[in-house]
Amino acid sequence: MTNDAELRTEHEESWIKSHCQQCFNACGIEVQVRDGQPIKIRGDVDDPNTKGHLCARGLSGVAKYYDPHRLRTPLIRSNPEKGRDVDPAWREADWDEALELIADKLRQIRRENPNKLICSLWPFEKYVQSFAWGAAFGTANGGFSFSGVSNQCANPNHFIGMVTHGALLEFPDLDHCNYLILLGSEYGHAAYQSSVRISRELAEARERGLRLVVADPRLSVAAGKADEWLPVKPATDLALLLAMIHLLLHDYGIYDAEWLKSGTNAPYLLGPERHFVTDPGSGKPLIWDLSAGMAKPFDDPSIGEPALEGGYHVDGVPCLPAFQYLKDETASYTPDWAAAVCDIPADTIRRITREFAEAACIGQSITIDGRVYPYRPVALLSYRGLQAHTNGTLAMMAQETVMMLVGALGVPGGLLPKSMDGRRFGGPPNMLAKGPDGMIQPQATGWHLHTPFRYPPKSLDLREYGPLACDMGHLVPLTSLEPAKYGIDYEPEALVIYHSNPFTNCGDRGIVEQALKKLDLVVSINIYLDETTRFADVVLPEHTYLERHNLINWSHDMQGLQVGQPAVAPRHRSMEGMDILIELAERAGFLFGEDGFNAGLNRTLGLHGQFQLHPDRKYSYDEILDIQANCHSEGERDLAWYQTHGNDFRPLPAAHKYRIYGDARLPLFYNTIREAGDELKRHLSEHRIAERHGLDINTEIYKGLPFWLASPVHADDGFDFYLISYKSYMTTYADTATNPILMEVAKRDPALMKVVINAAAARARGLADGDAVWVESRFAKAKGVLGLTEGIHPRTAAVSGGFGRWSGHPVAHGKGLSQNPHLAIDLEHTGMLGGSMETTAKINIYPVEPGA
Amino acid sequence: MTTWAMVFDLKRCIGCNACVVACKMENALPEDVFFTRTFVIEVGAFPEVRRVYIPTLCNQCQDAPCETACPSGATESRADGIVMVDQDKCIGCSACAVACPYDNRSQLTQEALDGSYFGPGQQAAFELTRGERWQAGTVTKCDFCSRRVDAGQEPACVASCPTDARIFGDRDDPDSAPSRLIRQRNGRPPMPEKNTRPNVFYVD
Repeated sequence: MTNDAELRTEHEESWIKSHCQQCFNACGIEVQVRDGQPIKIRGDVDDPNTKGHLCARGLSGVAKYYDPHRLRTPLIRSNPEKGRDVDPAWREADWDEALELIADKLRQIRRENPNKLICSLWPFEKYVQSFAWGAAFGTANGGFSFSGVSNQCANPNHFIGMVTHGALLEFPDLDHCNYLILLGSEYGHAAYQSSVRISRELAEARERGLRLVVADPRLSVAAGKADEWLPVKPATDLALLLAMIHLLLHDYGIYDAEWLKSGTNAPYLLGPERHFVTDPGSGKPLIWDLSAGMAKPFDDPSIGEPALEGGYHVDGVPCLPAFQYLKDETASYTPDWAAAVCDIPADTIRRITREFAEAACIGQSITIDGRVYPYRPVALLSYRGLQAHTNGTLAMMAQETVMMLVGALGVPGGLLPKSMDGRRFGGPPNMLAKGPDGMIQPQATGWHLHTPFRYPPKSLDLREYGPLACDMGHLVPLTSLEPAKYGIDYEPEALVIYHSNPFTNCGDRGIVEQALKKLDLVVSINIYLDETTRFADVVLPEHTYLERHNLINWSHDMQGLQVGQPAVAPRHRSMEGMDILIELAERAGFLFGEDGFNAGLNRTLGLHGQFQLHPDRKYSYDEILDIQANCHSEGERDLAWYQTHGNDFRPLPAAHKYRIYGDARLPLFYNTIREAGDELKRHLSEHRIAERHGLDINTEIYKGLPFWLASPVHADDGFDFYLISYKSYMTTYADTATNPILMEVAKRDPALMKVVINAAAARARGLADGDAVWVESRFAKAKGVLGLTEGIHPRTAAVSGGFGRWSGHPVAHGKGLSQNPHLAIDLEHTGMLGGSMETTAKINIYPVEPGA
Repeated sequence: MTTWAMVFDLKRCIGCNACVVACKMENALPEDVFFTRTFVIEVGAFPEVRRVYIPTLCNQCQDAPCETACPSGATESRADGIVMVDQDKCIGCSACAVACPYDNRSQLTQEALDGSYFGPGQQAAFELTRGERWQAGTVTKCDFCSRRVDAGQEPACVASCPTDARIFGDRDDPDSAPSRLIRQRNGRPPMPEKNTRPNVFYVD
C-alpha cells in the first residue's frame, strides 16, 4: 500500500508539505488544497517520526482556517472599562494604527524601565525565538509570565533533567526498554512530546514484551491499558519514589555500584555543611580510597577502591561519601511509611521495586555501532502530573535518583535525553562538558539555570527568591497587584500575549482579573477573541499555521529540519506573529544594534559565518527562515528546498544519542542545588527579606537530596476531594474546544466534559451519574455534570483540560469544566526550587438544588 | 482473488479517535454521521479495573443482511468483499439500517448535507465536496474507502492510526498481515451469532 496515488478530479488540486501546529510536536503533514482552499490534512509519510500517522487534532486542522470567528483585522478597544462581562466595544483598525499605538507605549516603558513590560509569549515552536524579543527589549519579565512553565508545563522535569543528564525532556529508549513505570504523563497514550510517534513505538515495544506500570490518581488511558495501575493519591508520588530508593539501598542492596563510583559523585566526600570536601592544593573534590586508607582527588589514577559507604576524617574534619549521605537520609522512608502517605500498598511497592531493579540487568552491557554501553532496560518517566506540585522538583529528583542508582540514565534501554541544544533549529547536537570538579556541566539555550540574586528583585515571578526556577510565571498576576510587598520597586504597565489565554490557564481568577485590569496596555496576538481579550486593549490577528512558514526540529533523536509553509494565502488581514514582533521591535527601537532583536535571533538560532542576520537590516520572518535553512545546511538547502521536500531528518548516531555526558559525573548528590540554596540563604538574610517583606522563603528545599515534603493540599481543610486535570489526545495542548470537528467526537466521550469521581465515593455521598453538581473551592464555584467511574482514587475528582470556556467562541462556550479557577496563586502553593505551581485543587462537590 | 479485510488489535487501540476524524474528513461526512466510531468500556472494580477501547465500522459481511434486505439492489457486494451502496439506486427506505445488526448504516438527509460545522450558510470548501460524494435521501456506510483502495491506498482510518491498531489487507493471501493476525491471535468477528460472516476481526 502506498499513500502516493492520487484521486483524479476536475479541480486544480495539490498536496502541500508542512508541519502541524495543533500542538507543539510539529508532525509532518500534507495539506490538500483545491482551487486555493484547504480541504483535507493527512500525515506526511516522508516524516520519519510519524511515518504518515496523525492524531485527531492534526486531522481536523482545516477547521481553524475556516472558523468564522477568526479575527479579520486588528481591533482596538473603545470602552475603557474592563471586566469579565463588559463589552470592550472593539473597533476595527488598520495595522499601522494598531502597531503604532503599541509601539508608543513600548517606547515610553523602555525609556523609563523596560521591566514594566510583561511578556507571555507561547508561540509553540517559536517560543525561544520570541524570548529573544523580550530580552532585546530589556525586560526581566520576558517569556512565560502569567502562563508559566510553572503552571502549564513541568519545570521540575526540565530543570532536574538538565542538571542531572542534560535532558530538557526524557525519552525511554523503546528499542531496548523492558520495564517502564509511568508516573502520570500519558506517555504513548494521550500526551507527552512526539506523541504520535511514541504511541506507535510504545505499542510495538509492548508487543515485544515491555511491562508497563502506571501510577496515576486516575485510570488514565495509559493506566487503563497498562499491566498494572497504581492509584496514587494526588501529589504524593514523591513518597512512592522515596520508598523505592529506600528499598534499593536498605532492603535489597540492588544498585549499580561500579557506575556510581565512576559515573556519579556518589563517592565524593561531603563535609559537615554537606559541601564537597576538596583538596587544599588543587581544589578538586576528594574521594576516600579504601585500598590506601586515605582521601585522594577524584581523578587521581591511583585510587584503588572508592568508598561509597562509611564515615571518615580528612584533616580532622568528619566527612562521608555522598552515597552514604543519601542512604542515611532515606532510612526512614520504608514502604509501610510510604503506603500510609500515598495509598499504594506496601507489598505492591516492594514487588514493583524489586521487579524494576531486577529488570535493570545491572552489570550487563550491549554493543551498538562498535561501542560498548551499559545495558539497563528500565525507565521511570513523569511529567506534569508528578511535578506540578509544591514538592514536584523533589519528586523529579527522587525519580532521577532511582534512575541513577540502577545506572539507567543516558544508556541503552534507559532514559535518553532530548537536550536543549542547537538541534531544534537545525544545528548539530552538543555533547555536555565536564567541569573541573569532574561533574556534568549542563547547557541550555534560552533557559535560566540560575538567576543571580538582585535586590530589589527585577523579576515579577520572584525568580531572585527561587533562583533555580526557570520561571514562576503564575505568580506574576499576584506580584503585579502589590509589587512593593515583594520588594519590587516598579509597577508593571503593559502585557504582550502571543498565543496564550492567561485568564483561563493560570489560577484564581479574582487575582488574574485584577492584575489584567491594572495594566495600562494589554496586547493579544491571537487567532480568535478569547477570555483574556476581554481585558485587552489591542488584539492583533495572526495567521493560522496553514498560512505561514516555519522551520523546526522537535524530535528527540533526529537531526535536520521540518518545514511549515503556507498551504493557502491568508484568509484575512492577519500577519505572521514573528513579523508582528519584528515590526514592533523596529518601531520601538530595539530591532537593530548589538543588543537588538536581530542579534538576539542570531544567537538563539545559532546563525553564524556568512549566514547571519545583519544587525542593522530589517528582515521578514520568511527571510530569516531562509537564512536559517542555509546556515544549517552550509548553503546546500534553502527554504524553497524544504518547501518541496518537507524535511531532511536523519537519525542521530548512537554517539549523540547515548551518554551525551561523556565521562562527566552525574549528581547523585545535587551539589549545585545545595550550593545555590546556601547562597540564597545568605542573600535573604543579608537583605533581611523575611523582616522587610514578611516572606517566608523555604530554603530547606535546597538540601541537594530528595526528601518528603507534604503539599499544602494535604492539610485537613474541610474539602472533600482533590481536583486534578488530565490530558486527552483530542483535547490537549491547543484551543481544541473551539474546533467543531473535534467537539463532535468529544461530546460522545463518556467522561471528557464531566467532573468524574469514584463510583463508590459517589454512592457514599448520595450522588449519581449525570447529576448536576456544584464544584466549589476557596476561589470559585462552577456547575458541572457528574460522571462516575471505577477508575479513580476515591478522594480524587478529575476534569479534562481545555474546557470550561465562557467567552469569545460559541463552539467552546459552556462545554465541560476548567480546573484552573480552583487553583491557588500564592507562595505557599508554589514550589520555588524548580518553579512549580501546585496544580491539585481542593473542592467540595454537592448537588445543584432543583431550579438553580 | 482478493478479499479485503480489517483487523482491530485491541491491545494497540488507545481510543484516540484519529480514525474517526480521518474518516469524517476523507468522506466529507456531515455532522453526526460516522462511518467509524470508537467505544470505551471499563472492566472490573476499583482498584482492579482496566479499560478497553473498541473501534467499529461496517463489517463488510460476506452474508450481509443489508444486502439481502435492500429492495432496490442498491447494496451489492463486490468481488473483493467490499459491500457497496449505489446511491443512484438507493431509495432511502432504511431497510438496510434496520437489518444491520451492528448499527453501521447512516441516513443522509438534505438538511445534514447542507449543514455546516460553522453554522447555517457557512459551508467551507471541504464541506462543499459532500455534494460530489453523497445524494440526499440515501442510506450509506463505510466502504473501506473503496476509492482509496482501488487507487492502491489504505483506508483513511488505517493510514492515520497512531498505534497501527487497524490492520488492513487481503484475507485470501495467507501471508497478509490480517491473515496472520487472525490465525496467530485467534481473530474473532463481531457478533458471530448473527452469522453474517464479517470481513472484520478483533484480536486482543
